[in-house]
Amino acid sequence: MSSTESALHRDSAVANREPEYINSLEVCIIGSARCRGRLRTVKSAETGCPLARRTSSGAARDTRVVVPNTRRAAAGGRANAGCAGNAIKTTKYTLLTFLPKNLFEQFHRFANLYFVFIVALNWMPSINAFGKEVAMIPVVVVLTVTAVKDAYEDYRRHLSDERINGAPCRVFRGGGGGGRYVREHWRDVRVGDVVHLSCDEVIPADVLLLRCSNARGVCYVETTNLDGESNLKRRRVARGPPDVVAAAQFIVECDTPNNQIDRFGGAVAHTDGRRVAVGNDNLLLRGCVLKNTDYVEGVVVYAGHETKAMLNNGGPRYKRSRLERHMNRDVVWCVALLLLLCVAGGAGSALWLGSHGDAELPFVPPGSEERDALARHGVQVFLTSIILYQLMIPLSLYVSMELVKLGQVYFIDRDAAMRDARTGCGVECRALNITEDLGVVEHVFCDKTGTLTENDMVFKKCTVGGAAFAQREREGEKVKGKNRDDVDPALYSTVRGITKDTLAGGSFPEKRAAADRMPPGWDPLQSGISPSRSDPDGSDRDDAWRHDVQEFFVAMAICNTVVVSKHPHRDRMDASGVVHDDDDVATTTTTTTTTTTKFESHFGFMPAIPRFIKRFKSSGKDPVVTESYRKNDDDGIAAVAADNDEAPYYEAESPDELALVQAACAYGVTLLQRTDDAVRVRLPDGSRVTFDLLHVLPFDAARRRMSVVVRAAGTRDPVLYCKGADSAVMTKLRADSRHARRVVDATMHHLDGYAREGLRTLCVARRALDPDEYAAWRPAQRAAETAVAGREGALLRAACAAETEMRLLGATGVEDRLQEGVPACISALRAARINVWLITGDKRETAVNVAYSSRVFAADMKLLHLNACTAEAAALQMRAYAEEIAESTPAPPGGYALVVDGHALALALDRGGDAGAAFVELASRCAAVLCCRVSPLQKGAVVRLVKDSLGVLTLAVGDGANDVTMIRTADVGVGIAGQEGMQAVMASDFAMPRFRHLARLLLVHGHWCHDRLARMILYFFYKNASYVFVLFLYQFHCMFSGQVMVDQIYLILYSLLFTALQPLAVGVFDRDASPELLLARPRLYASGATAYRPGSFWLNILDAVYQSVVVFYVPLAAFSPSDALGMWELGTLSTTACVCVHTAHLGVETRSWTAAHAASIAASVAVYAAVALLVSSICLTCNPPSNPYWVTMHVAARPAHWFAVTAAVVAAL
Amino acid sequence: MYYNNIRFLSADTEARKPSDSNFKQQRLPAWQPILTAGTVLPMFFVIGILFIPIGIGLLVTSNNVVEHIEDYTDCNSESGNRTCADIIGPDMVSSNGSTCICRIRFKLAIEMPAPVYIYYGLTNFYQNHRRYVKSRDDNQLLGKDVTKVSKDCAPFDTTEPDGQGTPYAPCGAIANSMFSDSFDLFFENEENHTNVKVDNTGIAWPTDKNAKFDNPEPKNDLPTAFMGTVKPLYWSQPVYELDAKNPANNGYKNEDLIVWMRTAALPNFRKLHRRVKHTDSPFQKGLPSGDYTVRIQYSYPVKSFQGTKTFI
Repeated sequence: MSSTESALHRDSAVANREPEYINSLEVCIIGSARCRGRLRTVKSAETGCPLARRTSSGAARDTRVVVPNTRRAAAGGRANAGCAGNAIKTTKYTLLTFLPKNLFEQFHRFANLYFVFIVALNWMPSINAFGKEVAMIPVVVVLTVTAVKDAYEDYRRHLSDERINGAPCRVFRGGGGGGRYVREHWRDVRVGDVVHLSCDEVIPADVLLLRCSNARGVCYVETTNLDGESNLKRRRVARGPPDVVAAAQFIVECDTPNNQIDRFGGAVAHTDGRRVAVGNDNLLLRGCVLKNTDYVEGVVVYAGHETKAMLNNGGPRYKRSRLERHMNRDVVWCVALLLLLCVAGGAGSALWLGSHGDAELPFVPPGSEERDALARHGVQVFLTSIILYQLMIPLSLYVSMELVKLGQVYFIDRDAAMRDARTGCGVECRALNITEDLGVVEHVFCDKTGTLTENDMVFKKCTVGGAAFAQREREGEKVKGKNRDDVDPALYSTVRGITKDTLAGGSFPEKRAAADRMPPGWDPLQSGISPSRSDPDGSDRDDAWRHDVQEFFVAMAICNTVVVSKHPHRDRMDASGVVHDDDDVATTTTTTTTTTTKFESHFGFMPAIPRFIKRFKSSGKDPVVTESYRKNDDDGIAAVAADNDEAPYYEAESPDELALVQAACAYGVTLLQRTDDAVRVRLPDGSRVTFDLLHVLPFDAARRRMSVVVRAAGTRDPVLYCKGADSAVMTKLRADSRHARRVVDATMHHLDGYAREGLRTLCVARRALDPDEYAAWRPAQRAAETAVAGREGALLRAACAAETEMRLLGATGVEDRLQEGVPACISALRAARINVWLITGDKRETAVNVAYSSRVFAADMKLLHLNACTAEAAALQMRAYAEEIAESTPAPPGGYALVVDGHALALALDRGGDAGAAFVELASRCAAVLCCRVSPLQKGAVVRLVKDSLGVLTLAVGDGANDVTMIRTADVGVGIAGQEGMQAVMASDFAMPRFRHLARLLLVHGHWCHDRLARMILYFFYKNASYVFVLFLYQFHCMFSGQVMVDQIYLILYSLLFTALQPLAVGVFDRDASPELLLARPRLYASGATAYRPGSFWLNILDAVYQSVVVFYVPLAAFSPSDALGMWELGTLSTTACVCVHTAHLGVETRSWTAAHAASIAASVAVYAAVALLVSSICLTCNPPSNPYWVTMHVAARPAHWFAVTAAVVAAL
Repeated sequence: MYYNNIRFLSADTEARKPSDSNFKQQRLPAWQPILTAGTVLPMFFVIGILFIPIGIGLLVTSNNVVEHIEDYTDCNSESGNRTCADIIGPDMVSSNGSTCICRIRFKLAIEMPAPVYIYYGLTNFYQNHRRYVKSRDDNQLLGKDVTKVSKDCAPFDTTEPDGQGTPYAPCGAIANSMFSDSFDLFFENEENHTNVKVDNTGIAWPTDKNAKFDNPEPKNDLPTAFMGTVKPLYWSQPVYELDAKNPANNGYKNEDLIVWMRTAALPNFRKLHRRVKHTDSPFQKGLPSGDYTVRIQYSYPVKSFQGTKTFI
């Protein structure tokens, strides 16, 4: 009952302090008559809430009712039926369904259908070009290879499923009073189970948090597995449920399973009819890791495949590369050629046969001489030809390309030169099939923060109340704002003046008035004499400024969502669910105990302490530590210094916040603890102030600011601190006095300066809320927080209502250093004729500055600013610039650079048609383009506009969630595995650790991949076409009857075996230039794109025609007419010649020979020889009509044949 | 499709670090031939020079080969002024079994050194027509079960359509159209009229004769062995009478048949017919120069396909 007890304690304690606040808490506690009475009022007040209405009107369609399994019997035993179990199965097949399902899926592919069509054609008796069994070889081989690959992948998924399903966790089993936690496998967890989780444990299912070791019911989870973000997220206990294990007198109503990770709504309904709304912050998602909390307990609401994590798992992305599109176009040409050959064959055979009149031919079996049969004969030959010339469609090309890309990806992944020494991460190819697109990128769209820059923020400058300060610069060292040696001494001394009292007082009329109104009994700081109160008239400017500074730093410290973390955790329950006696644990883990105790001392002010913690303290296990720490508390500056050495470990959602909190810490305002409803801050004088955290108005993209509403402990007036982008804050200020306006002007001036230096700026403002005002506003905010439907909108409206009439405190400038190697990388890209666009949400000045320093802009470029506010003005401006570019002769040496701001961009994008075209036209004439103040959605729209209207291959680089649309839209998306979580990486095709690796990825690997693949594809076309042409040439000598001289086994295996390896080797290993050369001469990149042109296909086809003529006629000429050349001998000869010629051709094509090339060629030739010999030695009657018994040996035994082959090779090349 | 994204073991960065092998870093020793005029031209010269002796060798060899060709398509019958082609008719059906004897005389200007081979040549004969090529049954030719014929042979599989009736042995269009002319070569000088002895064995591939073609059991009594079959439509004698004199060269083992069954690559082809026996004088060293006569039993019609026949 510890949590009940603790909640009670806290409740009554708070109630004593502030009754009207308690009324707003939706707390349900069973067994407390007082609370029960209060709760009724809460409930009645809550009926206005849509959620309550919906759930009270009975089970709505879109809700799920979860009954704890401990009382399922009471609920009829049929509760929670229909909910998925926690076992997951991500495999596609089972042993039984593998064959049919896999075949079914494979036949969805065009290539396989083609195969099947060919085989089916072959089963028609009159066509029957190949033996039925032989003709099935390709299909069977391809299907088998794919099936084996699929089966292997599925098996790996199965193993991983098994591992996960078999993971242990503790579940409460047994009803009534006799139950306890037992160790179970994940797969046995069911919806409605109550589970117990310790620190660092992976959460097995979506769990509604019911109880937590933490007194305030707050725990933290790390969601790396879910979204890749490594910061901790706070989750709290659904307020009110009693000790779940003992009573479990509740049911949970919540949304039906859905894939919206950040939305969850529902209510906990107690058996006595009370309900408590639960939301996203009460839900622990499967796959997250519990952190910073000793243990939690909760009830499973979604399990297995219904968990949000599983519902969010999409399949891999499939993009088709440009090269592949070109290739597909040429495959269509191949089909056309094939049809042409077949028609020629069919028509030729009919005509030829017809020309022979009615006489019976000894070599044509009777039955086809009748005129009316000629057409039929022609059609038959036509269909036969389709089978014979099936090689023309290079189907093996598709398989080969996949293999080659796998090989390329293998090497890209393992390139040590693209590995970040810091993290040990290399480039990761997430999309397997667009490696070659890296070689033909024409436009790069590039995010700024975190992509070009480190996104490792360093607090550099600030302006407070119109006065600017700067951190001291220290060259040669990695300067961190948290280093207290860098602080500005003047500012520091001012900050040092902050005391509890100055803060509590404040120097502003409304503030003072509010303080005066404070009821004496409610001010614990009453005894302290604050300067402002002792000197009410001392509100001179300096004093005001001093207070501004203080408020500024306090705002920096608390106006955020930073989590203070890291301390050891322990759980009394061991892995098998047995609860150990406290004393056992205490003796075995003495060190843990001391630190735990120490940690708990942070919460000394909290009235409610879990029972077992209390027992530690009372048993006095380690009072010394506690004492010494307490001592530090009151030690003034010494303590500050000491504390700084063990500076709290902060975890922030954004690096900006982290930088600000660390900066505040350096100036002595240290954030000590952030809990659900309180923030604890240590002031420079060592005193501690606790702020009641009334509301957090989180950051959103629309407002571009975030706020907290706090009340310093013991004061009555809530204060709103707001920080946000300057444009977002400046418009919400109240600048009624001259002084205030001057401060705003000065701050703006400083901000411009910061932006020019490339600093990221944030404005900080405050607003003292009138208690009445606050009381009026609070219900709206409450409603918004608990709303189920339309919550975002409601929150936005509520936040905007509060964030107005604010007073500007100051602004911060945070430096985000450029990543190492960025300028070099960008100039390399530009030298490679790649257009680099910088797209950022930052201010124009900041962005331009970074553009210059990262060399997106060259120093000699002429900047064109596009910043019109109306569509007409924008059009006019664009026209004017276009004319300027057209008319200016000579053009500026560096060309033009276009700077577009978000507003003008929106105009260009919105108007579609005209404006968009004009914009792209203008942009395409500029050497570089910079878009600033761009929203995430606009980023995607810009990329789409350029991609669609210019038809260029685009690449987008980004690191944050705001770049996801851009990354998804671009042809190639690159994610930087940065500080802002992994959303960008998840959406990307390639992930890499640092921006500078982009140069190598594009210039070296992209170039290679494209060059290799292009040559391989062309080689395949050439190879297959020339072989088919050889066959076709034979038709001129056999009445177009559709006979081939080549044994069908060779025909089938030709591209599958004999000539499959060499092009693979080229596709994976060949390189036309060394990486050093490619990096040193970026212009080679631009020329690499020409490796595959429309003409290349026809060039290769011509080559194929020539070589096939040579391959066919040279041996023929060598033998004819003086020898009795058998048909199959000729076929063997032709095939040998083809293998040799094609291999030699590839040898000429190969740019750099390695052992792999040689080995692949040797292997292929060996395989050919082996197959030929094998078939010839065993095949007496296996393969009618050729039955090439001993043909190969016969051929090989005659030197003339070898001469013919040699001659053919030499002549062909 | 679902993927598990739950990571249980933190990825060990050390394990993920790639090996620095030359292979994985694509630093295999490579030879990058750069084709320039400076390298290509000498290469061409070298190749050309290498080919000169080969060419010379070939020229000499081919010059040493003495070849004499006689076209006898339109030779006149011994017994009248009509050509044999007229007598036997234009195609297989009309010529069925009939023969005509004609003689052609020719003069060898120079001696033909041993060994001398006699070929027959046909033109415009599409032995490589698809339906013709298919029309055989290698199982039957292997002597497995002569009465069982493949559908591939149709319509020369059995006497009646659709597999009814008695099977042909050997079946199929190829066998059916076997070349049937025979030649007797005489050396004529002032006093003599010497028959040039020829050998009708050793003209097929040994492998074909030993492995691919075999007679059915009982091998020593071929008429019994081929019981239940009939001779091909256009043949004048059953397969077991192809060479009555030499049992080892009879039935499916007959080398004329084997040679014929190995289909030619081109419509104008020759096939080895006989080997001259260089045992008797004056042929030990070959065929001396002088006049020769060939007596041809003309039974193979070629007119239907505008073909020609040659004796080589």
